[in-house]
Amino acid sequence: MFLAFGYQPGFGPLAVAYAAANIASAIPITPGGLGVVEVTLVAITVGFGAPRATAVLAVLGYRVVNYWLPLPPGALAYLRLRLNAHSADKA
Amino acid sequence: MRWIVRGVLFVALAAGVFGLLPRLGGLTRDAAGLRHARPALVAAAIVAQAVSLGCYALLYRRVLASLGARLRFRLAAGVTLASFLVSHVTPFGSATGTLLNVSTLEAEGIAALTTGEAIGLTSLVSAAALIALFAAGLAATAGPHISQSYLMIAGIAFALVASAAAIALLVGAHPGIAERAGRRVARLI
Repeated sequence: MFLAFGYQPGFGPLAVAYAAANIASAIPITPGGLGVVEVTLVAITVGFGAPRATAVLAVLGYRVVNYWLPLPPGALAYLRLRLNAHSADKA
Repeated sequence: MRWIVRGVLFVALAAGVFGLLPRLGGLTRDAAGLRHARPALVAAAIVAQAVSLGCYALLYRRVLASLGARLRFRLAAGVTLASFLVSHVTPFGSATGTLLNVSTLEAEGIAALTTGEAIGLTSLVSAAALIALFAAGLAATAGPHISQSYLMIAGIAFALVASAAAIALLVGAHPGIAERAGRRVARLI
């Protein structure tokens, strides 16, 4: 997503930011690390020299793809599992 | 009546987390800039996300198979996606996701303990990959002139990595913990 906004971060900073943010999201403060991941990623990438505005956009874009987009297919899968369980209970 | 109350609570929580918080955080204005992203690279990111979820489902299926529990890929993918939903929209989502996994796979004839163990091992593999990535990142960024802020960031990140590794190892060694914690939290919610 950084590349999509015209900035190429180095492998090292991106690896550290990505790993730290994903590990931080495991702490159950908010659902799916909402807010925690965004703050961690922006803080670390800016700390390593990325422009703040680009970092915010890239992280928001990343979270749209990584957090929001899988939710509708997830809802469909959830409904399908519930319906299957319901029909199995009836039978 | 119970389902109506739960439904109302769920909608209120979703509206609060996904509607109100971004407005309060001023992200709505920033989000307008997303239109300037290069479409081809955004498409590549979407494909990478789909592949990532598919690989996770495949890993979960393989771990279950190694424990003697066979599962169709379609069901493994369905459970992975449904767990993604509940773990991303409910508080203590990992525990709720565990419960969803356990109850779904129990209906398929897979014991709760096996599912708990598979979830623990899958998390362990995932955490190990993150730790390897983190270590590679640290090695790539560490140089002769290390600043104070770099050391602080690395220290915080290292503490997070160590905590996650400890939790993953604990769950991997005692898979029943994941199952019991899931059931307990689900009762509270």
